[in-house]
Amino acid sequence: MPDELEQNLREALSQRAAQLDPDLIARLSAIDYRPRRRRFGIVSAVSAVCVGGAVAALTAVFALSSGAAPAFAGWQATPTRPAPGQLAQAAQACGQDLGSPVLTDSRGPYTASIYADSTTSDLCLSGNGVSMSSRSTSVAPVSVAPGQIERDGGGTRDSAGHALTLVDGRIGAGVTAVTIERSDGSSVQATVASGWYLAWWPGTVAATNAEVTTASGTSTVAFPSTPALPAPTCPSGAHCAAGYSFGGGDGTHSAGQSTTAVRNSSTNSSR
Amino acid sequence: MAHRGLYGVMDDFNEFVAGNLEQLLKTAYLVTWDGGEAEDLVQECLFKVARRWPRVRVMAQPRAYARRVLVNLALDAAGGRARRRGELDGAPAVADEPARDLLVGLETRTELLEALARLTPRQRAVLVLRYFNDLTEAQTAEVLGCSPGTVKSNASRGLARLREVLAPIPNPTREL
Repeated sequence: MPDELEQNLREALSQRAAQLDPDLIARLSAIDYRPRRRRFGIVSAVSAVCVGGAVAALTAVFALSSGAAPAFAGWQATPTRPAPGQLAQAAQACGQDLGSPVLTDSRGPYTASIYADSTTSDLCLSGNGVSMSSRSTSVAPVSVAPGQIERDGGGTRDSAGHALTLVDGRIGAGVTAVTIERSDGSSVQATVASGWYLAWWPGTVAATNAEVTTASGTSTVAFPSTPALPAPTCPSGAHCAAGYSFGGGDGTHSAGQSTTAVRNSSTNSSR
Repeated sequence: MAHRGLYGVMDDFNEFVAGNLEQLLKTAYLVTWDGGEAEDLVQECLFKVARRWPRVRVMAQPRAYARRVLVNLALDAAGGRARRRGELDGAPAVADEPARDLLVGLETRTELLEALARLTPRQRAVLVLRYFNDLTEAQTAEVLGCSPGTVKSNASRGLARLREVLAPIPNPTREL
C-alpha cells in the first residue's frame, strides 16, 4: 500500500504535468516527423554506375543539435585516427539498435558512420555538439560495377547559416581510394571501407568530381550539379532549414531540394 | 521480397504520435522540469522513432521504445550540461546540492514540487517513471537501461530526499 508521500508525489506530478502549456502539444502535433522520400538518378552515362534498373529512393532526417559548433571546429579534410572512446561515443549517439557500422569516418572530433544492409543505409554524424542522421533506401539491392562508385549525398543548412555537405555510397570491386573534388578547387579525402565510401565537410561547397583509384589507375566521375538552397519558409515561431540531395537510382538525372520547418535549433531536411 | 513504400509503412506513425504525444511531452516536462527543453526532446525523440518506425512499429510496445528514447535523450542532455558546468566552474550541479538547508520544513504539494525540482535528473526520472507513468521497477529499469535493483535504490534515495526536505522543522531547544 503506498504511503502518504508516494500518494502526494503522484498528485504533485499530475498537478505539475497539467500546467504544461497546451500550445506545446499543438506545435509538436503540427510537425511532420516522417523521413522525406525522393527519387534520384545517376548523373551521367559517362559515370556508368550500375544500379540494375532499380528505382532508388533516398530518405533522410538531419538533426543538428542546439549545441552544434557553427564552424565545425577541428574538422579535417583527411580522415583522422579516432581518439580513445570516440567511436563508442558515436555508436551511443547513433543508437544501439543499428548494429555495427560498415564504415566509420573520423575527422577531428567528428565521427560519421554508415550502417547498411542490402537496401537501406543509415548515416550518422556526431561529435563536438553536432548530431545528424539520415537514411537512404532502395527497392532493390544496389550493385556497383567494378571500379565505379555510387554517388549519394546532399547538403543542408539551418537558418543560422550552419551547413554541411556529404557524399557517400557503395563502391565497386577494386576501388581502393576516393577523393572528392569540390567546386572551390579543394579536395576532401573519403574514407573507404567494406564496400562503402564517405566524405563530408562543413559548408555548402559542392562536390564536382570523384577521383576513384583502383589498381589500374585513377578515373574521374562527375557529381550532379546541385540546386541553390532555397530560402526557408518558416511558420511563426518555427526554425527552418533547407537542404538538397542527389543519388543514384533509376537512370534519370535529377537532384532534389526541400525545406522543412522545425522549432528551435534542430534541423530536419532531406538529402 | 515484398516491399511496402516508406509512406505506406509510415501510415500508422501519425496515429502513434496522436496517441502518445501528450504523455511523452508530460514525461519529458517532468524529467527536465522545463517546457522548452521538453518540446525539443520530444521533437528529437519522434524524429528518431520515425526514422526507425518500420522496425519500431512491429515491436510489442512501440510506446515503451519511444519512452526509452525520450528519457535517455533527456538524461544525456542533463549529463552534458552537468559536465559543461563542471568544466566551467568546478561547481556541482544545482540539483546535486544538499536541499535541506534550502527547503527544510516545507509541507505543501507546491513545496513538494520544489523539492522534486532539486533532485538530480536521474532521480527525478525514476520517480516520474514510477509514480507518473506507473511503471513497475522492472519496466523502469528497462527504460533506463539499468537493473531493477538500481531503480529501487534510486527511487529509495529520491523518496528519502523528499522526506528529508518535507520533514517538520524540529523545535529548537531554548535556554531558559
